[in-house]
Amino acid sequence: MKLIKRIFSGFCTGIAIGMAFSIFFSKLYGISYVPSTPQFINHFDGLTNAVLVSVVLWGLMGVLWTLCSGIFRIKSWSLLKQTVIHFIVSYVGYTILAIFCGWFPMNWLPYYTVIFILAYVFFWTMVIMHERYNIKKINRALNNH
Amino acid sequence: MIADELQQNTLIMGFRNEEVKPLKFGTLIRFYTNKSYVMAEVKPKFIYRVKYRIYQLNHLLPTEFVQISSSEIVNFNYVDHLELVRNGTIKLVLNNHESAYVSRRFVSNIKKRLRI
Repeated sequence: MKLIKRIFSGFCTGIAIGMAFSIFFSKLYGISYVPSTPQFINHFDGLTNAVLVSVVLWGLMGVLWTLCSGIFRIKSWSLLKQTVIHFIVSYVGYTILAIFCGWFPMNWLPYYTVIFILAYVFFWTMVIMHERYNIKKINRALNNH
Repeated sequence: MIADELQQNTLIMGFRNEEVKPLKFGTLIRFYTNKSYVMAEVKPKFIYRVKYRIYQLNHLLPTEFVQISSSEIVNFNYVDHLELVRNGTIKLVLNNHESAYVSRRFVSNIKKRLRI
């Protein structure tokens, strides 16, 4: 039941964020509302279908997001394993969904991949630095015992 | 005075084979869960079964005992140091060279108990 609730709320959050971004970009380019790029919309006859498919894809992104966050709650896995599995699942999932959404041309894929990897390296470094700092502090307190 | 006496001596009973023994806080190294039993390790190297759950022990034990994961409580007078393992897990090394693993969720708990 909890899982169904999480999936539902992820779906709704995904739609809300996707909606906000598509309105923002439509406004930015000063055009009447479109859910995604012209290449994407050209696949459909009529704007309604394009919006419908976009909304479903945004929802699925939200679901992927909530399911992925559960990986960090698996206590028996080390931080390394959690991070690597999280990376693989979210990279594969988001790449497929983003390509379906037509968010970027295929020749951008290498840049996207590099940014994706850098985000995880940054996260890993921050967490490790934080833990190292904590352990140093604890060890100092232990020595003064 | 009686309260001090109670703090120093203990009400926690250890069970081993036919033996039942009151466990003194000062000699207790750690408590850990083994399958569904909570075990107590007592200096120098005795293992007793206790009839409390980890969360119950948390309320019974004095401040030198700190919970380090959902299944383990350690007496910090017997802790040598902590170290970060390559895969991001935190290892706790005891004076007797045994080790235990600290959950990241419990690090703040340790800091609070050590007053840092």
